[in-house]
Amino acid sequence: MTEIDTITIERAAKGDDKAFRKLYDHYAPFVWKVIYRTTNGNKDAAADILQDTFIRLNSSLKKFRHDSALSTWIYRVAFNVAMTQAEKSRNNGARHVSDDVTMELPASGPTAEERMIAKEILKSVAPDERFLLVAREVEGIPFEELEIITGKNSGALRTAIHRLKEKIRKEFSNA
Amino acid sequence: MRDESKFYAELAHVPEMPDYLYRTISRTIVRRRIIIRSVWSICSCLVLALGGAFILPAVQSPVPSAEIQTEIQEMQSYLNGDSLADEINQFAYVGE
Repeated sequence: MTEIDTITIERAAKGDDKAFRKLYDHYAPFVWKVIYRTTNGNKDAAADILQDTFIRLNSSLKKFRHDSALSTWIYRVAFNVAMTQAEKSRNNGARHVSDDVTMELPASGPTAEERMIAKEILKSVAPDERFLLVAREVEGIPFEELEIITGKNSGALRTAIHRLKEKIRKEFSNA
Repeated sequence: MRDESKFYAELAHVPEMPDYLYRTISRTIVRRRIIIRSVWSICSCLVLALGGAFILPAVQSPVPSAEIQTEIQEMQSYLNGDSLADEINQFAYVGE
């Protein structure tokens, strides 16, 4: 992902609404992809997480010291918000309903049956692992950045990804 | 055996982000900003009001120290001419 220019970040941090809008337009679609899958296709929950992420970002952007890429920082905020939300949902006993069953896919893509199997597999995976899987395997975020985002060490992340890919290989291929 | 890449294709396929999201974010940010500024204004007013309540009475009714009170009394008696008779007696012999 290309990063937005420093001037825009600084202007947004000072409360410039246009700069903040530019920042949102640049980063939100990437965050949305990861968050949507983390919530296992729950559009409302993903929308709540994305909103909360950017509201927090707006108030804490002044503290951003350019130690890492801004995208890493935004993903970190999004990850924390998503995990808090997942914890709340678990405590409330809420069940997420996938919204994307009717979504159109290109003819070369997975069949309806394959999509259902993929969803069933994702349902059995914890939200933090779903985040990790999409961030790594779909968005291609490097492990060094994932360390910062999730607060886990690289070794643990590599093991988790390996285990997840094994699970997917077994369950998806043989289902 | 299913092609595993189909799983990742499904994982990557995500619907468009809803348009209304930024409006909600923007509204919340503006609302928060107004609340924060109002709280600051109220706090500033309170500080000014309380500061005034403590400082003004002290300025309006100062209590001078005992030393200054004696000085003032001496100055008052001098101006009133209380010690005039003594001074006349004292200086009456100077010319003699």
